[in-house]
Amino acid sequence: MGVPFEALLPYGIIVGMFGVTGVGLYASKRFLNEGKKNRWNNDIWDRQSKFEFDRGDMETTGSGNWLKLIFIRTVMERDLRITGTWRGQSSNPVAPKGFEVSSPWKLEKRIY
Amino acid sequence: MAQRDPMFNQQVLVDTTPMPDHIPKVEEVGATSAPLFSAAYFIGDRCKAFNDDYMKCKEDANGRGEIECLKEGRKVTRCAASVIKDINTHCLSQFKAHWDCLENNNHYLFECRKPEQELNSCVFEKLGLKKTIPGAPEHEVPVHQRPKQKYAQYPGRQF
Repeated sequence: MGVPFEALLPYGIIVGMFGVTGVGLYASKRFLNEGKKNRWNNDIWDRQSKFEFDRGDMETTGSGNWLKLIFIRTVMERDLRITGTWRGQSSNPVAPKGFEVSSPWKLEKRIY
Repeated sequence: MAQRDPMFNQQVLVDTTPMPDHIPKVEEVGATSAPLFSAAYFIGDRCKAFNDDYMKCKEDANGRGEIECLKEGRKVTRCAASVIKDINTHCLSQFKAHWDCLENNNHYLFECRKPEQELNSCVFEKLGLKKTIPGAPEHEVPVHQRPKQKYAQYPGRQF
């Protein structure tokens, strides 16, 4: 007495869904990293910083551009300033024009 | 490894005022992280004297090194840029293969020993710069010349 194929259909669906998850994660990570493998376990020196808008400051100064993002000065942020993308790489010996003045200074709020 | 950034700044300031004219200009190094990492040992080989000079100056300047060591710093920048330029001129394909591999493998040197061997031999032939790991034990084969890499994804011989 064999097992009817209907009994195995759920297992097919389970395995298929694992496949969907895996392929989907692979594709979305590659997409987010411009076709390269994801970088992981970076230390602070390498890591691209999480950034957020400082909305209050935008309203007071009125200039809402990317310079107002909060950056931590890291190597991947330097890559962004040279190539324009997070994962872009360039081996030019000379930096593009304007790079020498685009480096961010950290500011802290004054403690009175 | 610290997972939390010690971050005390609330915002950043990008000051686009250029340096004053009485300070000599220097062109910044334009190589990004992976090419710089790939060329790091060659930069160290050619520019050791300049780098040591700069660090000595910073140490002697008692915290005023950013201002007083500008001259030494310019030498460091120019020397590093010259190494990158020379490698680009003479070993472009090997260089690109190596830093592409690094960028695709989380900047792990042990995943890219084969392109690294080719780059090392090309740079040694054309430029005479040799990769040596400072402080490595002298009676052992250095790690970048061992064909098997312990933690690499591919467990067999890499080259």
